[in-house]
Amino acid sequence: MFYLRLVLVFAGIVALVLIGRAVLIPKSWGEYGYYRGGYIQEEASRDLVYGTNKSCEKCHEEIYELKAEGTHKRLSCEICHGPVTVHVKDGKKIGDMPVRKGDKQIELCLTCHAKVAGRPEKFPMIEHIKHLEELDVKLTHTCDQCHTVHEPLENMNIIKKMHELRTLKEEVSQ
Amino acid sequence: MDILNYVFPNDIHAHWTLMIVIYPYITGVVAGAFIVSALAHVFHVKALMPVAKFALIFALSWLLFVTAPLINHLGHPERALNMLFTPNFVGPSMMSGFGYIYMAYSILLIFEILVIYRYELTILKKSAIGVKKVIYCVLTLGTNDESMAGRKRDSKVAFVMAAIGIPLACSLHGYVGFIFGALKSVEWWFTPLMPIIFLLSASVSGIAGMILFYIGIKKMTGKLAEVKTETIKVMIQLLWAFFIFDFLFELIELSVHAYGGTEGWHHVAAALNGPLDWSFWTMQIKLLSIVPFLILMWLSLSKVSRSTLLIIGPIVSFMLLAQVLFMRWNVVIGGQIMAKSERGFAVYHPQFFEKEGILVTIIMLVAPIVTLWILSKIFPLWESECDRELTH
Amino acid sequence: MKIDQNFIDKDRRGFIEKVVKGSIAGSLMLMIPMNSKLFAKVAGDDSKLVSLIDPKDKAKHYAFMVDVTGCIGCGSCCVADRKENSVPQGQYRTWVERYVIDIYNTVYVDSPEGGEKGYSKPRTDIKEKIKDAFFVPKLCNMCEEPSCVQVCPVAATFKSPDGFVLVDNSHCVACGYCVQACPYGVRFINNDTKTADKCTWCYHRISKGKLPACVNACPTGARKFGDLNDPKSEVAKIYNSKTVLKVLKKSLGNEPALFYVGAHEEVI
Repeated sequence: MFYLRLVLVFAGIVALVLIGRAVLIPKSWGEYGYYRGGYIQEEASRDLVYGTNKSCEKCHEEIYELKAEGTHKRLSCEICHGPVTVHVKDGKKIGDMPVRKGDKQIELCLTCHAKVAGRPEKFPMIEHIKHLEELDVKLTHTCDQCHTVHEPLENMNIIKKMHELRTLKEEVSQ
Repeated sequence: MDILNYVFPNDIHAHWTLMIVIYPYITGVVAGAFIVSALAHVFHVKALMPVAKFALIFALSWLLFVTAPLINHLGHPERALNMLFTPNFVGPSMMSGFGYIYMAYSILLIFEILVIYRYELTILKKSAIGVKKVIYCVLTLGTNDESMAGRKRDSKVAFVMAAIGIPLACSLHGYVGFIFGALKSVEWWFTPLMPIIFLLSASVSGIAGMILFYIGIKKMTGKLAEVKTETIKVMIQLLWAFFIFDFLFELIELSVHAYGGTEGWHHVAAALNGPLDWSFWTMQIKLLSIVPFLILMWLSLSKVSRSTLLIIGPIVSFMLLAQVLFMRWNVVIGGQIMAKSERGFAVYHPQFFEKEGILVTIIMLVAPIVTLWILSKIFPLWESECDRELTH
Repeated sequence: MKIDQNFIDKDRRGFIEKVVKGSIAGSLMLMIPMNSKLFAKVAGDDSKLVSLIDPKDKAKHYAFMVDVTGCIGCGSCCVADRKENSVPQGQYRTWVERYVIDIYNTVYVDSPEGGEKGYSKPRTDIKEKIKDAFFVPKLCNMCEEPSCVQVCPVAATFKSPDGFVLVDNSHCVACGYCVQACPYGVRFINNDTKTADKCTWCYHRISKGKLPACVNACPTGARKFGDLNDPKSEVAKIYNSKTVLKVLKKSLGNEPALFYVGAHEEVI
C-alpha cells in the first residue's frame, strides 16, 4: 500500500515535469536547432539606430559630394553628428543633429588627429598647440578656421593650385 | 605582473559572488552526510548506526537550500525552471545536467527518509495531535502498516535506495566540480582533478559537519553521555581518511601545475602569491589543512580519552568545515580574479548588505541549521528502540 | 638665399590670408540650411528597413577582420556600438585596447572606459623608451566552436545556421556561466535587461544589408566585415592573400571567425 502510493507520488512528479515541459517550452523551439528559432528573426528585425552616409545624401547632397571626393571620404557622417534615427523619422526631421563648435570641435578633431603613440605614422596627426604655433596663428583658433570640416584640405588644395599657377606664370614670364 | 594589471573591461569585477561560493559548499555537506548514512545502511558499519538516521535528516536540511544561493544569483529567477524544461543537452551544458541530477537525488533522499522512518512515524502518528498528526499522515502516505513483514521490506528497500544513492550523491557533487573543471577559459579551474577534489572535499565537509552537529546537539540537549565514543572515533578516522585523499589531490593538482610551469601557471602563481596569498596559503593550506591533518592523525592513531575526542573532535571538524569553505572561495573567486586578459587580476569585495552579500550568505548558511531543528521536531534524529529491534 | 626667404615669408602670409578667407566660406556653408526644401521627402528611412536574411542560408561565410596597423584608437566604433545596441554604461560589446611595448619588451596594456573616449592623450606613466605601440579593437570572436553555447544550461545562447552566436534574452536566466566560459571576455550580464549580452556583429544591420555599426563608423577601415565565400569582398581578398592572420587564444580551439591583421604575439 505504502509503496504503491510512493510510486504514484513519483509518477506524479515525473508527470508534472513532462506537462510543465510541454506547456512551457517556447513556440518555435527547435525550428532551426535546439533553441527558440523565432528569436533569430526577432533579432534580425531590430530597428537600426545608425544609417550609412547614403542616408544623409538625399538632404545634404552638396556636403555628401564634397566629402565623398575628399580626404574624409571614409568618415561616417554619424561619427561627428550622431545617429540618423534621432534626426529623421518617417521622412520628417524630428530632431537637430549636434554640430560641434569651439573647444568641443577641437576636441572632436583631436580624437583622431592628436599625435599619440600607437597611431599609424602615415595618419595625419598634430600636436595641437605646436601646430598652431608653427603656422603662426592665434592659439585660440578652432580647426575649422582653416580646415573645412567636411573636406579638411579643401582650402589647402585651392592654395596649392593657386601657388602652382603663380609659379607657372612666373616661369612663363621669365 | 602587478604594475601592468590590465583586465578586460567586462571582467573588472568577479561576476560569480559569495552565492556561488556557498552553493558547492552546501551541496558538499549534503553529499558528505549521505556517504555516512550509506556506510551504515549499505556497508553495515555498525559503529555508524547511531548516526545513520541523523545523517539523512542532516543531508535533507542542507539539500533544501542547495538551490537558494543559485536562485538568488540568477538575473531572472522566475525563469529558473527553464533549466528543467529546456535543458541544453546538445552542448551539453553541465549546469543543466545538474538540475536533473539534483532533482533525482532530492527525490531519492526524501523517499529514502520516508521509507526508513515509515514504521516509526506510523507509531508516532497514534499519539500525535493537531498539525503534527496531519504531517505524519502525509509523510506515511496515509498508511498504517505495523507488521514485521512490512518493516523487513522497508529495510530491504532502504538498502537498495542507499545503494543507488551512493553513485548519485557522488555524481551530484562530482558534477559541481565538473562545472568548474570543464571550463578551459579559466586556467585555475581547468583540470580533470577538479571533480575529484570537489567530491573528496564534499565528503570531508559532510563528515566534519556530522561530527560537529552530533556532539553539539547532544551537548545542547544535555545528553552528552549518549554520544558513543566508538561512533566518534570511527567518524574521526573516516574524516582523516577522506581528508588525506582530499589534501593529497589538492597538492597533486597544484604541484603538477607548478612543475609544468606553462604560461597559464605563471598567472595562477602570481594570483596565489598575490591577492589570494592569505586565503590560500595561510588559511586553506597552512592553518586549516596541515594543522587539522596532524590533529586527526593523532586522534585516529593513538589511544585518546573520550573527553579528548569530545573536545578536540568538534574543533578539528570546525577547522575542516572552514578549510572547505576557504577552498571553495579560492576556487570560485580565485578563478575569476585570474582575469582572462592574462595580464592582471579582477577584484571582488563582497558588501555586507548587498543582494548577494555577506549577510545573505550568513542567512543561507544558518537556514539549514534552523531547518534541522524544525525537522528534528518531526523526525526523531537518533537511533530508536524500533531500529535496534530490527538489527538485532 | 635672402630673396628666397623673403618669398617664403610673404607666401606664408598670403597662405594664411587665404586660409582664413577660405574657412569663412566653409563656415558659411555650414550655416546655410542645406537644401532645406528637401526635408519633406526622404527616401531611405533607415529605421523602417525589413530583415532580408534567411537564417538557413549557409552559402555565406561571414568573417570579421581587424587591421591593427590601421586602427588610430579614436573610439568611434565603441561610441557607435553603444548607441546602436543600447549597451549600458560601464559594459562593453566592443572595446579598444592600447598596447605599448618598451625597449625592455615590457608590454603595457590599458583600455580606459573601453577606449570609448578615444586615445587623444599619450600614456604618461611609462618611464622607459617606447619601441612600439598599437591599438587592438576587441569584439565577439563568433567562434566556430563557441564555449558560451556549449555551457548555456537553457540553450538561450545558440549558433544560428548562418553562423552567428546570438543570445535569446527572453529565455536567458542570467546564470553567468557563459560569462565565465567565454575566453575573450566579451560577454556580460546586461545591467538593464539582466540577461547575458554580447556583440552580435550587428546581426540586425547585416540582415538589412548594412555593415555592422562599428565597421560603418571606422574612419580608417581598420574594421572589415564580409563574406569569405564572396571572392570580391575585402575580407576574402585578405584571407586568400599572403597576409598573416591571427586569431586570439588559438590553442583553446574555439576557432574564431574574427581575424587580426598585423597583430603582435603579445595580443591576447
